[in-house]
Amino acid sequence: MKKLNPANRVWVCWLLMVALFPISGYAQEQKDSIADKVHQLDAVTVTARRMPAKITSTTSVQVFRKEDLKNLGLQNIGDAVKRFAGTNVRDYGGIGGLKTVSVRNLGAAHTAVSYDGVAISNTQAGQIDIGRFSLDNVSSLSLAIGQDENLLQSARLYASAGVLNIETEKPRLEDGRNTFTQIQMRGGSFGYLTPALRHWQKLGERTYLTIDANYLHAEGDYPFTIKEGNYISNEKRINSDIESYQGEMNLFHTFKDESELSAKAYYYHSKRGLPGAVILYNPESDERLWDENFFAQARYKKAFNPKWTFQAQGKYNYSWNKYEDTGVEYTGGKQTDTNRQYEYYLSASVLYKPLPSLSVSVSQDGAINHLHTNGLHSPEPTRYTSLTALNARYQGKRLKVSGTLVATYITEEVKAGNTPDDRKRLSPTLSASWQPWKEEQFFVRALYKNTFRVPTFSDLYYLRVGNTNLRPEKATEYTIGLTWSGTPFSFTDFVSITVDGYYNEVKDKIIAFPSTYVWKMQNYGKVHITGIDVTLATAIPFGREVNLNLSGNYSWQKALDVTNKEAKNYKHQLPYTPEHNGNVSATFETPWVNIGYTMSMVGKRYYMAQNIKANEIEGYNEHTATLWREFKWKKCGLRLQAEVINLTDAQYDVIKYYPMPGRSWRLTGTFNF
Amino acid sequence: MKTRSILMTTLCSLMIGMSFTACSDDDDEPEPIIDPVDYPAYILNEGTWGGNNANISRFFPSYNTSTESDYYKQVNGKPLGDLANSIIEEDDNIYVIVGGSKYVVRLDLNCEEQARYAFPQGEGEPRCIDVEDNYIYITQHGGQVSKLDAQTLELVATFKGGDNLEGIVEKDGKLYVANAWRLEGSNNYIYNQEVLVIDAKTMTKSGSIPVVENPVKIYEINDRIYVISEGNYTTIPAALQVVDTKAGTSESILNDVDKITEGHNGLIYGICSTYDENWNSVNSFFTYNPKNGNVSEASFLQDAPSSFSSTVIYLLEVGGEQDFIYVGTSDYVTNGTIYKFDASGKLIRSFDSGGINPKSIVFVD
Repeated sequence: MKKLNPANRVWVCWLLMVALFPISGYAQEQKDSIADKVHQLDAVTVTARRMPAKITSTTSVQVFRKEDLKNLGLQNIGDAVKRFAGTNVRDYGGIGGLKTVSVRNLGAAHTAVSYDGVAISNTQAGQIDIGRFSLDNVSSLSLAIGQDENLLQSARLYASAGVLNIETEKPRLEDGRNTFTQIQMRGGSFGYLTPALRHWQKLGERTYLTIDANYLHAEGDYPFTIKEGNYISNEKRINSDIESYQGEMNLFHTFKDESELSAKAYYYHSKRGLPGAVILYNPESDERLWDENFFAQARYKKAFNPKWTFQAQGKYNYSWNKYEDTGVEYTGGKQTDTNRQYEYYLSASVLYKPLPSLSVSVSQDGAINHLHTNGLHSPEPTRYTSLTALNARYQGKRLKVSGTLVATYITEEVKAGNTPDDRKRLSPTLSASWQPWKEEQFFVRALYKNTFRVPTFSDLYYLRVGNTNLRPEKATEYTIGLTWSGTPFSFTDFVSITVDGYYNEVKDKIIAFPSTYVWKMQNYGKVHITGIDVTLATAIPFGREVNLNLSGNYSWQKALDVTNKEAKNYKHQLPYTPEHNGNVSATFETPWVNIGYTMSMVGKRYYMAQNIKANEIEGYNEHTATLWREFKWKKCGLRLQAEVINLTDAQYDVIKYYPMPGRSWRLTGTFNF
Repeated sequence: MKTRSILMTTLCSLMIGMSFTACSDDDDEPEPIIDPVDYPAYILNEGTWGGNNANISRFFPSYNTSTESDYYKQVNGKPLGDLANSIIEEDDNIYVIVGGSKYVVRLDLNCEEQARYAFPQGEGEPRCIDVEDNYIYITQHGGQVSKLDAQTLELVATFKGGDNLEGIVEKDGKLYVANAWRLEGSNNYIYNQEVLVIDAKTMTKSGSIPVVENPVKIYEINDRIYVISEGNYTTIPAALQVVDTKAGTSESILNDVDKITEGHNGLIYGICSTYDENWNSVNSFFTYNPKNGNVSEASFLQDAPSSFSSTVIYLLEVGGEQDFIYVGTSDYVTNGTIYKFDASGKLIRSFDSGGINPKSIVFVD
């Protein structure tokens, strides 16, 4: 029998899923207002978990709630994000491996990552390692392609092509309790061990304190197989260990006028090996990396009256890293690079609702970013950024229209060398959602968004490679989508479907361009991206205590390099972009034991720019299964969870020659009191 | 009606199928039958760092056939590895240095592996090679030259000295080695100004020859040694120099030179490369006459493609039975292109190099 290729397998899975739903079974009584039903479920805060994609928003917003993250056995934020439709997560393998997210192939630097409402920045490299953040205290993880609907956002979040929003858990002290403590121990394959502690303390009637801390240790020495034609080599990943400490403290206070203040202090420290690409016949790997990050951020929000709301945010960020490589090619046998980044950031937003159907807001951000390196002739750049976002939203009974205009002004100074010209640019966004029929939860939505990313400090100033003449890299998004939710079958709680088609353009792409002796960053690339994202979710109850929740998504994408008609890769698919990929997840909840299951299906990709057989990477399927059960005894709770990751022991690379671990396991015990 | 519809559909399908067939590249140029005794040539495609995509591809200079991509893998059943730096043919053996994978391999004339030497962990990356009197000499980063038996590839002796060593040639019992650069602290590159002279028998240093900063490539052409220094990439330009081995001195011939090769009629062909204000390559070709020291900036290529002036030229070779001129270009992300010219510099054809970054060609004859 001919083996199905991964792309076809994606289709077959979808067909099977669709076939599982009988076409008959429409009962008249099930034609109750879906909105009512959703509303009822909202009260028990289960609906959002079961509907991972928002259907009423003008832009695509996909959500993982805390329960999904735990129940599906997702390993880290990168692991969760790659299960959103339309994302491209570059995962360099292992627990300590870099993980970055790009939305619809616009590039990682076009995707903002927000942590409790404040964007995380990295002006040196431009991309955020999303693998670094712990999932343990995350209450929701959402991905907005375009932008979120919240009009009280910082301007920085409006300025990106997509926003990954990490929201941490807020304290919920029930039954008159003043404290909540949770101790968690997790262990697994390849020397993985993570103890974690959480403590919530009620300090007063209106004040809460939370503390989260965890330690992570992993050897990361997993086995893998390299197969190249007849050549098969069974090896073990080396120099892939990691040790990290992570902690944060949050203070929440509600004033008597109901205004809210939240403050956070966060610290992260890690030391890890950088195993690099597997080099055939050469097992040496000596690179090491140390990271340290501290930030403190605060948010104050006050609603003066139903029409006026104000929000202010501030952040101080310090990050440091040290890269070290040993080898005889360095004088003294070692090379050490250190980088320090400082950020001072303020944001203020005002929301005004002159009419019930009309909201306008303005957000003003100011940021100062500075980089210090130990390199010779370090230019010590400092960047001053002003971002102003004007927003308006009309929300009629069946029509919702949002518009945003972001004005950016950036100026830089350096201690030595040239600086780029000041940058001034307007970035417009327009999105709309229309409900054609009042009685149907069916929406048509559309988005136009024009954004850009400024060159990073590395793009501009890195020794010999940097180029201060770079222009910003521009991205334009066009999306049109259909969303629907209903109860077409008597045996389902709901069925929710979203379909979004999009066309994106990236111009003046910033890439390292070779000349004979010197690589130089240049505005060279041009990319056209066309795609379709489909999401589907449903919940099927079996009696009062048994539930099956199913969700899945499928993405088709053509991301073509249209830079140079003479080039051999003209109109070839970009590297690491599968034409087809999809995800399926399911949780089966019973009174006895609960089961979670996820599957990722990724079609073939190319690891170099030219789409030829030699550059092809095979597609893969990855399965993860979870079993868990919760026990309660008086005011104490215990949750035991077992996970098998990569159930079928598939050998695959997300990035060529950065092999991913084969089958592994994790056990988690969580005790709270 | 139904029958006619089926017939029309079938006819249309056949026509569409035929039109696709007609578009196939395979029909553009009938593949000639290769006489087994015809001599092949091997292109060493360097590959990209961390990509394990170095390869050796094969073509036949006497025929206009396409390149057999990754011929090494076809013959040996395994990939060549990561970053192939050098290839040389001597006494019916082909030696290849695969720097990223840190080994040197001896192949027969059909590219089949005969012996391999893996450099020990902790030693620097092997870079360049020369063969003489049953020994091969290999430069390494970290200041080492390894002397190996040319048949068994067993280590015979080592020289330790200098910093990151690059090009090497053997002449009259002496090794001339480019002592290129060192890195002292973060981003602090120091460019050396010497070619080391090492006694090949004892593997001890016998002297050094001053040259322009950052000597990288060394050639022996018609009994003379030429050195290309790459300068400091900013204020000091690359330079072609000729070495007076007896006097222990060097003399500059021309600036901005990137590579040279032995041309026709005792001439040396070369490429100058610099870049414009937008950092695009700017190339020009020149001819050097060693007899009178004249440099002619008139190109030795009659009808070079206009793209040559601004692309990255990765390879320049003259060889094979008919002494064709080969120019290889690269964009570092797709397979290179080889342009073949006759001895008068007239373009004959261009073809795919079968890999990324075509670096050298060895001709079997």
